[in-house]
Amino acid sequence: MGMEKVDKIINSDYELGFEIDIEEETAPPGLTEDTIKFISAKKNEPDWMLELRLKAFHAWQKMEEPKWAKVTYPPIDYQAISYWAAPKKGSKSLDEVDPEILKAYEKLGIPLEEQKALAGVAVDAVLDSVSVKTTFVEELNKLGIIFCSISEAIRDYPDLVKKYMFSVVPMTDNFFAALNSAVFSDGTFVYIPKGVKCPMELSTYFRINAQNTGQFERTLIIADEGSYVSYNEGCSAPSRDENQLHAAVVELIAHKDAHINYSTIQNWYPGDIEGNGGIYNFVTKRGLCEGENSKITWTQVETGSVITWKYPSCILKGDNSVGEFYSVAITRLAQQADTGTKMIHIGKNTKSLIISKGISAQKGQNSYRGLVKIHESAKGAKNFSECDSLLIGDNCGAHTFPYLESKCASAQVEHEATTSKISEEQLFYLRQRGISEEDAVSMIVHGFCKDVLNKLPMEFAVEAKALLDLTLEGSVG
Amino acid sequence: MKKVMQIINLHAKIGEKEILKGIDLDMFEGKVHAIMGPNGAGKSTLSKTIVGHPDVEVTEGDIIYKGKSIIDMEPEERALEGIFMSFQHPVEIPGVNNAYFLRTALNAKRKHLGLKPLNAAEFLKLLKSKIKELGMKEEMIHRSLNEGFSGGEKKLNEILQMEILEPDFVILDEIDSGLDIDALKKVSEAINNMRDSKRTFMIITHYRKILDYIEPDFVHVLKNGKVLKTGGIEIVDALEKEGYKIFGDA
Amino acid sequence: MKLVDINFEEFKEQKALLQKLKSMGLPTPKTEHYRYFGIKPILDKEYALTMPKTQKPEEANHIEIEDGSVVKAPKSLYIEMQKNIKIDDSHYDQIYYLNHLLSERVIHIECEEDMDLKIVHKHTLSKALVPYRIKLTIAAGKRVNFYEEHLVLAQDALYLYGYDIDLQENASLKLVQNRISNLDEFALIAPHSVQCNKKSNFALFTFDFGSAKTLHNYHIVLQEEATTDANHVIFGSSSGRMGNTFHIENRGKESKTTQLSRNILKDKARGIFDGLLIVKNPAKYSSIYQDSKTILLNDGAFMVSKPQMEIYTEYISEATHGSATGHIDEEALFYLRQRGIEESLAKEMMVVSFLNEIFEKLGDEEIKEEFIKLYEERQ
Ligand SMILES: Nc1ncnc2c1ncn2[C@@H]1O[C@H](COP(=O)(O)OP(=O)(O)OP(=O)(O)O)[C@@H](O)[C@H]1O
Ligand SMILES: [Mg+2]
Repeated sequence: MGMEKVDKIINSDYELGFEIDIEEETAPPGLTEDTIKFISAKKNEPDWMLELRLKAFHAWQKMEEPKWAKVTYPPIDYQAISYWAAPKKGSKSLDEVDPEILKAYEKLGIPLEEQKALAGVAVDAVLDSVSVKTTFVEELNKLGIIFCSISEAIRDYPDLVKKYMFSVVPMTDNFFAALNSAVFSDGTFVYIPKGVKCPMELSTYFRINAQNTGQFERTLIIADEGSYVSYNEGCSAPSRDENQLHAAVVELIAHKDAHINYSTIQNWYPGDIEGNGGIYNFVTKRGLCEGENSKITWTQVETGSVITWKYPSCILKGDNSVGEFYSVAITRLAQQADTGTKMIHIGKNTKSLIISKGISAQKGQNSYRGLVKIHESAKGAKNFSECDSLLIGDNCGAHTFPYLESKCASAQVEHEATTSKISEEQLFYLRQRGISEEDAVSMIVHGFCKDVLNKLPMEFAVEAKALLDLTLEGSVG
Repeated sequence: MKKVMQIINLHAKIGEKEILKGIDLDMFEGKVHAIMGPNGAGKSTLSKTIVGHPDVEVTEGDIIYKGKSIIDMEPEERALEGIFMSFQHPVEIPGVNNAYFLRTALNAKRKHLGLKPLNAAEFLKLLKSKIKELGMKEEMIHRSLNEGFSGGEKKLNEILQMEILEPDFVILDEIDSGLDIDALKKVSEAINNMRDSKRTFMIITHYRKILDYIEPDFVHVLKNGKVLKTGGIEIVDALEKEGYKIFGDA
Repeated sequence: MKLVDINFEEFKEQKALLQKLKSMGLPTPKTEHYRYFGIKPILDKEYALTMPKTQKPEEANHIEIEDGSVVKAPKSLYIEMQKNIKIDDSHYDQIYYLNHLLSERVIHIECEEDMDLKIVHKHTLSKALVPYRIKLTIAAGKRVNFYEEHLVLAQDALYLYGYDIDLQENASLKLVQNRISNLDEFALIAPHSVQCNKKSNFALFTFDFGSAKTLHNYHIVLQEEATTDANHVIFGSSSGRMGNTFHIENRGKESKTTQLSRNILKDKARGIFDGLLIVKNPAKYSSIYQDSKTILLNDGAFMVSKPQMEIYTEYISEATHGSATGHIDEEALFYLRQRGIEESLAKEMMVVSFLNEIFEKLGDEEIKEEFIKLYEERQ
């Protein structure tokens, strides 16, 4: 029957798997207090930051890796990883950035030269452990917007960092967050002042390049009263046989009437069909809707990584605040994803919306895991979740694990989920109109994901759609 | 008269059940063939067999179209060769934009014919003119394919696709069911406008009304998986009076 | 004794069980199926371990089990105390193995004929820990209706019991579990295992009314063309904590699972619905459906709903679940009141209609009346 005939070549290539040919300085593998001191020194950090890192490190040593997610992988040897890698040449001014890096980013579709940059998108480029370039800084500064690497923020805006870092994701929140708190290397810092609507998309592009290193970035975004910002991150890594660890932390704070839009296109190297290589992606992302009427929207398109463990969450503390989560997660090859969200309703009339679309193909295992928690105080709170899964092929799996807790009689929690294969009838209808089977599958899958893809900012929606096609190519059958 | 499709001793089953039990039927270039028959006779199954639906398995016989056997061809190949079927029950495809879908289908056809693809603007112009003719609501082309369409709207949407894709061999499976009086008139006009010396129609219906508008060249009666009678419009008169029993059991 | 300090060396002879329990360990507050139940205080509590006595049952037309001993039974029925029965070695609940370990002899009921059976569990021993198990075999092609009731007189006690059900080919069992208890300090943990062989049919109706602490953990396995239709009603009040957790595994092709859960919670009561439906790769063309709905009557009442699916084949006929937690539909309430029905009665009507789907499926007016009575008492 239909689908079985589509027996295409199994492996579509990971196009971003090239290596950037530059000299890098890497720390020797291993994690001790000295490693942390080394990282901190490399970044010329103030003492208070080092102290915090050490505190996190000591807590981490006593913690255990979480085991509840529906993913299996061999034990990670944390002493075999290098926690620091940075290009030898390289500085923040464009003239000094290694031309190899500029070329590489160009190839990734991220021009770092401002005159070439996409109109209306400011970029922070993080290569392994350091930020190599942030564009459009001056223009943003005129509005009082701070857009810089987290290392710079620690130096230049210590008060903001001290106030907000660890305030949403405590340093001991979980094993990977604690690890990140101890060793985080770089990442992006954004502050939008009161009443300012950020006029351009802010974007960070993360790239793991060096061998045998982990990437531990940290992002902190603060939207002050009445402000708005749309932030996007993209990621990629070379194709290597070994697994590499990526453990990031993202904290968002939305004050009264502020709105943060956070989008991710995750395209880390997924490994091969046998499960060799690929990024282990263990990420803690959480946003706090601190003030009344604030809003945080997470949108993610997850196509990469061999293991994904990721639950971008919202704490809806302010009355009338809103949390949204839109997700497309594709697992093919031997990828395993355990991803979803948490919506914690505390304030009155808080609302959350969860739209999750999972697609599994080849040997992929895709799990949605989501918590909706309504506190007794959240009078009139409302949640709606819709989690749909699509199975393509008979060796993959689709799993749905919602946790719905309510303690408030005036609140409403609603969850719906379905799992199915691509409908033969739909496929046939399109083919009867002369559309090839492969295009028909792609069309149906795009349709399936539409509600999520529509939430991405224009520039990124195009990228995500192309990525979706590339990912699907060859995994149908 | 030139035979455009020859169905020869066609046997086909769905699952374990034999539904077509030796169909012999010739259809001619530029002619309109009406097919009538009681519920469950196998009319839709015959259409599905012609367009290559994966549920139907041909166990014996052949279908020759434009001189070639098509029974081993993929559905999209048959479509590109000019065979179009309007579905008795068009399927809903969530999230797939109607206009986008139609443009993809049209451009697949144009590519097959060695023509340049139409860009969005050109296509939209074409689409809008057709929509107007059919009296469809314009917003429908921006909605998801068939999703939430009423029964009649779905049928109109099938006709719209026929007009855009300009097929050579058009199968209309109960296109008249569920249409209101005005829509039936519009659809019949659309079909009549598309009639020419090359294009063949196979119209499956239960009702006389649409045949009064369209005036078929041939009427075939299908019952129990076989063609029992072929003739002109006079067959319909007999049916109206007596019902299908006059054709006995196959 | 406390469960946490059980000396397992005493059970050395039951190697397989012991091994299994040791590898899984006792449940902790993090154990998924005990997460919301509050297992810790129960494990830490001092109870007098009381093993059931073996005695000759009195003749009656129903079965009565008092503190784990069969005290009454119909004469015609084949009941025996059996040792070393075959256990379910893939149960997800640790307590299942512990329960077996503590219950050396299992009450084995064999149904070789079509029959209607009633079983009454009496729990009378305060401050006791009473373990027992029942094995229920339904012979091939037979239909059995099994109606279970619990009579709770014990204060501050922990009862462990559960069924090992073996539905042979084409057999059919309707099990109705009516588990009312108004004693706040009574705890019941009941791990069940149900093996549904080819083409067998298992219909389950559970009713938890009241304020006790009860948790039922079912492991149900479906072979080819077997069906399970599981229905649950919880009406919890006071500080009651009542839950049903499930792993229902569709292992054979064309097997079918449907599950409905309806919960009404009042005061500080907590309801738990945790149902994991699994479709294994060989279970092609199976279907699963799950629907959980809850009404919270006041703030502070707590519902945890976990409708879960794991699917390992593309060839699936239906896989849907839904869950909704909310309050009584104000519009509908207003409609009834506008027609002159007083508010409390209107509310009652709404609540009863909320449960109707299950009551109707069951076709037992008695349980419905019981519910209404209890609901009115608790107003
Ligand atoms: N997918 C299927 N599985 C099993 N039987 C089918 C299937 N599709 C069609 N049939 C059976 O085949 C027979 C012919 O069906 P078909 O749809 O071709 O009839 P029809 O002539 O189009 O009828 P109607 O006028 O009602 O549309 C019927 O008995 C129908 O039940
Ligand atoms: Mg038909």
